[in-house]
Amino acid sequence: MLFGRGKTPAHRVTRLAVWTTTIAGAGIILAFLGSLARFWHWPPQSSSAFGVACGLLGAGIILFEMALLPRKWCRGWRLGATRLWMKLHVWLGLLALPVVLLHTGFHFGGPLPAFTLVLFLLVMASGLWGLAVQQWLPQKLHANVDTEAIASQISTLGQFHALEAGRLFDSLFSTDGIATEAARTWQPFRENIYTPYIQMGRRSHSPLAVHANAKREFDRLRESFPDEAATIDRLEAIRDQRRQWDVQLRLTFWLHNWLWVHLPLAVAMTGLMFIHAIRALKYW
Amino acid sequence: MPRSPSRDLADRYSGNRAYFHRLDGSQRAKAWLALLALGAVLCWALFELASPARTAPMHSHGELASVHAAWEQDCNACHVAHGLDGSVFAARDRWHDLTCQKCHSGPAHHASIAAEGQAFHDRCSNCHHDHGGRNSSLVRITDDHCTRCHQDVAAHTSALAPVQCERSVTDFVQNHPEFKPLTGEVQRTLKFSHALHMTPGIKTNASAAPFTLEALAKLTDSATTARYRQPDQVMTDAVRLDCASCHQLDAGSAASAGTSLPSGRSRGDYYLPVIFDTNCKACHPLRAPEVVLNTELRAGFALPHGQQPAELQKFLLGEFSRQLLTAGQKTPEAPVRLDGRGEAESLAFRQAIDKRTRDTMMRLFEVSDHSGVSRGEACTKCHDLSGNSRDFATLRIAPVPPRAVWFTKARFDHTVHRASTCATCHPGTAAAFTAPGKLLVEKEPPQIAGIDTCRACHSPAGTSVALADGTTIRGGGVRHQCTDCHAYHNGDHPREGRAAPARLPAKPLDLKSFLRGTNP
Repeated sequence: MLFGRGKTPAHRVTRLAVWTTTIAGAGIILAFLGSLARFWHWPPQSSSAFGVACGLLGAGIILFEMALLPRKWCRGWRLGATRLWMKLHVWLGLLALPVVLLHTGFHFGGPLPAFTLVLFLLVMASGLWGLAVQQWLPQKLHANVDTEAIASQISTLGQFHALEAGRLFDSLFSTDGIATEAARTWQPFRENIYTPYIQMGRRSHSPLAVHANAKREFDRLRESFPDEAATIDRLEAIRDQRRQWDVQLRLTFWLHNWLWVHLPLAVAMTGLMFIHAIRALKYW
Repeated sequence: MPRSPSRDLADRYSGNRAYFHRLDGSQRAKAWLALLALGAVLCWALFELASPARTAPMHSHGELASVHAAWEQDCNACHVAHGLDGSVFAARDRWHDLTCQKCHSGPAHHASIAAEGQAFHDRCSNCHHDHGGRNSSLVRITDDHCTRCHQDVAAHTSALAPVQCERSVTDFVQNHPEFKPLTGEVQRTLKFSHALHMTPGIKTNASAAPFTLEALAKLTDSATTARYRQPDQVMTDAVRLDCASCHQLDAGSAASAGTSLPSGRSRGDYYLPVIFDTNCKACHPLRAPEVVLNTELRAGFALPHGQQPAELQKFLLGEFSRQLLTAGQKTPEAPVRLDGRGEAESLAFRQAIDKRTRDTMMRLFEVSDHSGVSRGEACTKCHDLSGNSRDFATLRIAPVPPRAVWFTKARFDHTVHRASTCATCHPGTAAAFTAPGKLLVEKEPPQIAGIDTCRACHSPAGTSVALADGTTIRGGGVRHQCTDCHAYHNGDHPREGRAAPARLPAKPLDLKSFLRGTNP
């Protein structure tokens, strides 16, 4: 989700930082002004009416944020546009920061509330990081990867391309069904270097992952098969596409890996929030 | 026959279908981590349900003070259990519903406190905040707890009760009034001049003969003389007193035996009271004048201190009777003769006693036959008299109020201030008759410096503090909160300490109940 209409990632990330700071600061300043008007104490006390109200509002926001999860599980239920959900997820998430800070009274409290607060701050930080990389990496992906594929299917596509490359190598290495001397020379390249790279990409540790190495190898191949330029060009194009998919995989990894932190910590934080609320409101 | 490539395109795809339903590696990692987190939280929730007492400290917002450490894991010891009844917005009220009075009694500040203040007083946690850590204090609280009422005392005092203190105090440095004992006229009933007694030789002019150690030795025993002899003095030197000659901290030492706690138990906040037998008698022995009996000069006998004239008169009658009897005079208690011939002897005996007693009383109280004003040699040298000066039965020595504690509504620890000289806080107590022209003031005002001297140290660092001599000094930054000097509970009886009956718990607990924090 792009944050704002800025054309450059730097502009959008800056905008995100400014809004985060503004919302947090404005919320706290408003609460301070309320205390000056003697609506509540300053710093707010967690168990005061105002503190509990902030806690309940924060809990409500967090529950809505967590509702994004069932919303994704039930895409077919037509629960509103994804874009709207994401907008609310982001803006209410930003609003949750001052609300929860006011609920805490700027104190960590006991061990469990403190741990819950730390988890909340980590969830906020990971969410902001995720939002920031989404302002930047998709644009970079668009610029650097011409042949973007479905990331999870890249290994499958690699297998398809390996089959195609196999047929191309077969046609390259045999003339009327008879293997040439050059074909025997280049057979190890096909089996050990080219095909593993097309199938597994960088994980194959093939020298073709390095562009200079690849160019050198394909130049030599052209020298060995001067009449098969079209076939070799296609083989090189397949290798280049695989390289782009590697780039795509790397960018996709960074585009989504923040969720490894964001989601589990959000789940833990929500659970602890319930435990905290019950123990704080009902002492037995 | 080779398969046509167009067949591949025309055939129905049977490969990697529904791939979008399957999680890729990243999604699997995310899901497993989320499930792991959920499992951990559920385990913790079960633990909370199974053992709420053991998990209670996890929810506490801080360690209890060391005095309450025994109940760190037992919320029930202090908190009244509550459910979800009532508004969730009243959570603070429920958490502050405490049972402090199981162990503590908190007598009211003043009976005159208004209803609102009484309600505030009834909730202990309004002032005493626990969960501040082991080293936190439950009684050293911030000034706003006190100034809540003391910024406008009249508004927080019952309409029927008079306001007994300054109407508005918000800060020790800014607007704390001068200490009350120093503001009004102090009715002194004892004549004593520090300026005279601190002058070497204890004399009011340079030409007068000094009171020497030799002279002292004639009045008292050698041990007492040694007590007043400075290390650099010989017996012919003038007596030179210092503060410690009479004023001693309650150190539980032998010197204060009988007036303080056993050795090592005394806090030493205050100086022991200056009492005649300990501090005055050496130089001012109370003795009856010498008398002549049967042409024999009899030495005067020691008189008790602390007696009213009527009591002293009875004592003198008894002592003179004993002297006359031991001198061989006939006893009036001999069997009464029916012919009346013994009455003359008895009358003579009584007249002799009465004369000696009256002479002695006149001399002790030195009452002028005409004015009745005491000129004082013995008792009236220091004490004021009241009553009819010609009738010893009505004559009264004005009582001397206890002055060991001047500021009864605050506490002061002399021991922690002993690094500074006595004169720092007690001006006018130094020797004053070393040069001529000084007027003897026998009834001194309280020789205690005012609040500004306290503020010199007890004010925010760098504050400009005006001293009594007109100079200014930068504040020392030493603590200056209300609770550093004042206590709250039982304020109508400021001289009573923590052991006051009003502070005793209603029902003390046995050890096990005490450690459980619950009644048996």
